[in-house]
Amino acid sequence: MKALYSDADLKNALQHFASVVGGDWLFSGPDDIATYTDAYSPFALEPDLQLLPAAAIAPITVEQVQQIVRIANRYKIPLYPISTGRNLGYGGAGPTMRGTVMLDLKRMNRILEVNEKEAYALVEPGVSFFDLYHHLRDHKIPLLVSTPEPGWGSPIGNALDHGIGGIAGDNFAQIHGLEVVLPNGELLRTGSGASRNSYLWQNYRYGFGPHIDGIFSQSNFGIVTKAGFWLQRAIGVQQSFMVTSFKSEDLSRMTDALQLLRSQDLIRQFGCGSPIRGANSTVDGHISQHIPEVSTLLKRQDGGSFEEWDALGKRVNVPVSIAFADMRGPKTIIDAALQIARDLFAGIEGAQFNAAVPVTLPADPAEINDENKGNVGIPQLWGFNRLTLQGTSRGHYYLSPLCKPNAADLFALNDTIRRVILDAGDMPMLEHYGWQPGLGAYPKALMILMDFLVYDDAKLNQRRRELFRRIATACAAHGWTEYRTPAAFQSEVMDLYSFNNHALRRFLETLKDAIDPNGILAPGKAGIWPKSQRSTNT
Amino acid sequence: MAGFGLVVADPIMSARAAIATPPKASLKPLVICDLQYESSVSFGRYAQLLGAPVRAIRSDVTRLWREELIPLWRSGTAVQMGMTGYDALFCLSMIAREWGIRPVYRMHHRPQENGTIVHEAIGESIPQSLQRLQSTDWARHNAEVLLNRLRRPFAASSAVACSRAARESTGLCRNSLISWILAPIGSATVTSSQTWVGAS
Repeated sequence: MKALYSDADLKNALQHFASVVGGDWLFSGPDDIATYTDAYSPFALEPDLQLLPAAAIAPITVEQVQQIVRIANRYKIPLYPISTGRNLGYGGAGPTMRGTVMLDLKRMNRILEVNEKEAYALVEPGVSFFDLYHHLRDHKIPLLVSTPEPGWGSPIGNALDHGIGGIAGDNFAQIHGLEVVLPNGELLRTGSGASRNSYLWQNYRYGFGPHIDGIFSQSNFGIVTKAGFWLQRAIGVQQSFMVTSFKSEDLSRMTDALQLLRSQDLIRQFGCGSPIRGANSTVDGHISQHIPEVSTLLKRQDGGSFEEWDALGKRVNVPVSIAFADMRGPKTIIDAALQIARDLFAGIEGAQFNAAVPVTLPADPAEINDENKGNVGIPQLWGFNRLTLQGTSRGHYYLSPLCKPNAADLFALNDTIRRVILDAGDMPMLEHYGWQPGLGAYPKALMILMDFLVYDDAKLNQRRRELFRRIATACAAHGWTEYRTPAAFQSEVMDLYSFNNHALRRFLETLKDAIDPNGILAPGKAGIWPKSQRSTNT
Repeated sequence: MAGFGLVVADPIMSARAAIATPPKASLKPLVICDLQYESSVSFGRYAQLLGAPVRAIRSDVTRLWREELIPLWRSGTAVQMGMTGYDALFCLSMIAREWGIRPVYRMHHRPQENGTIVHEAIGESIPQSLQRLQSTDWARHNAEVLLNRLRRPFAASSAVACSRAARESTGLCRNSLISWILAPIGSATVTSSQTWVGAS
C-alpha cells in the first residue's frame, strides 16, 4: 500500500476533525482503534495483515460529515464510513485499507419520520433494526421492519451492503430516496428528493433522469446520511410451509413449483435443499447428525448417485428433497394461496406437504420461537449461540454465491464446491460444508451460505483463505457470482466480474477518479481503488 | 406521521468521557449467569447469596440488554460481571462499547477431557485467585473473586490489556466459560466500606 498522507498531515487533520465533532468524539487510542476492526477478521493471529484504522471520528450532523469530508480532502486522509459497524461475517466495523480514519455514524440515530399510511420510515444511518422495531411497537404502529438476524445492525448499512431481511428479503429494494454527502462535501438527494421541497421522496424513487441509488451501495462514491426505508404491513398472518420427499429427482419439480408460486407473488422468501446430503454439515452452528454413509458419499469423487442418496435417505429416515416458503397477508387470501400451493405440490407423488401454524401479525415475541423471530420481523441476537456451537471464538466469514432458482443449478453449484474442497484435500472442511440448501432471498435466484470459521491456527486460516479464493473462482467460472464479501476478498471478487476485460471495474474506477480525485472515501471498498492506490492494490 | 425528530438511542459515550465522569459512590454490579452451564448457575447462586442482583440468560442477551441493561446504563449503573459462554460476552462487549463500557477483566475456564478445568487469566491476574479456583466448588469461589475485585477501580490500561490479551490468547472451545467484568474505565465499582459476605 502506498502511503496517502504524512504523520504531520494526519495529526493536523485529526485536530481539525476534533474541532468539528468535539474532542470526545475523536478516538485515537489503541483500545479505541481496536474496536474499529473486523471482530471476525480472517486475519486473526496475523497482525501484519490486520486492517487497522488510524483513528475514528463520530459526527452527529450532516453538516459535520460535510466538514469532515472537506478536511479529509485538504489533507488527503482516507475516511471509511460505517453505520452501526455490525456487518459480521462480511467485514464488521473494519476498513478495507490500513491507516484509514473511520467515520462512525452511530450517533446519527434519528428516526426522522414514520409514515404509517404509506408504510415507510426516513432514518439516519445510526438507527438499528432494534430501534426501528421498538419505535413501531412503542407507538403501536402496525408495520413490520425487514430485520436480518441478528438485528443490531442498521437498515441503511444492511441495505447498502445488499443485505437480506426476514420480511422483505432484498433490503436494498426497500430503499427509496437517499441523501448523500459526496466526496467533495456536497450534499445530494437522489430520485424525487432532488426536486426542491419534494414530499414524494420516499414514494417515488426514480425522479427524473438516471436512477443512481445503486452506485451508493457496495461502493465508495458517497456517505449516505438519510434514507427512506419501506416497511411492510403487519396485517393478517404469516404462514410457512414445507414439502419433503425421499427422491432426489423431486427437487427439480419442487423448485419449479416454488418459482411458479413466487412469480404470482403467492410466496415471499423460499428455499430448497437436500436434508440427507446436508445431514452432517455444521455450517452456521448446524448440529451434525453424524451419519457415516453421508460422509462416505460426499468424499467419493462422483459424490454419489441419486439412487444411492435416495436409498440412504429412506434407510435413515431423513428426507432427500425439501422445499419451503412463507406467505404473508390477509388470512382469507393466505388460506387460498396455501391451498394453491398444496394442490401444486400434490402433483409430486410421495411428497409430504406440511403447513405450520399461522402466526397472527404483528407477532407477540413471547409466542414466537427464537429461531423464527426474524421471519416475522422481530429483531434478536439469538443466533450468536452459534459462536459456542462452532467451537471457535474467532468468528467466521461467508462465501455466498448465487445460482439460478432450479435444482440442476443447485446440484451443480454444490458439486463444484465439493470438488474444489476435495481437490484441496481439506476433509474437515468437506465435513463442515456437507451440502448446502439454496435460499431464495431474491425472487429469481438461490443463494448458498458457507461459513469459513477462523481458528487459533494462522496456517490453517491461510489455507482456508486460499480455499475461499479457489471456490469463488471456480464458482465464477460457471457464472455463480458472490453477492457480498468481506474486505479481505473484495478486490479479488470484483476481479471475478471480468466481462469484456473488466469493463465494470474500469467504469467504476473512471467514476471514482471523477468524483473523488483525492481518493479519500473508503479506498478499496468493493475492489474500487482510487488512481493513487490502484497499481499496488489491483 | 409519528416520531418526527425522535432520538431513539442514547449516543455512544467516548472512553475519554467515561474517564472524565466522577465515579459513582455506590454501584452494585449486576451479575449475569447462563442457565445452560451448571458452573455458571452455581456462580450466580453464590453471587446472589452474597447480596448481588443476579440475572439468568440462556445464551441470548437480547431481553436483558433491551429491558435491563439500557435503563441501567442510562442511569449510570455501568458495572456488570458474569460467568457465561463466549457468545454472551461477545454480544455484551459490542453493545457496551457504545456506552463507554469495556471488558476490564477476563478469565477463561476451559474444560479438559479428564474432567478438570483449566483457568487462564486474560490480561490482569488476581493474586491467589487461580489457586482458589482449583477446588471442586470453583464457581462459587469465582463469584467471591470477582466481587472482591470490584472494590478497586479499573485503569484504562485494564481494558487495553484485556482486549489485547483476548486477541492474542488461544480462543475458546465449546463449553468453555468466561468470567468477566464490564466497567467504564477509571470508575470505582463499589465503595471501600461495602463488604461482601463471605469475601476474603
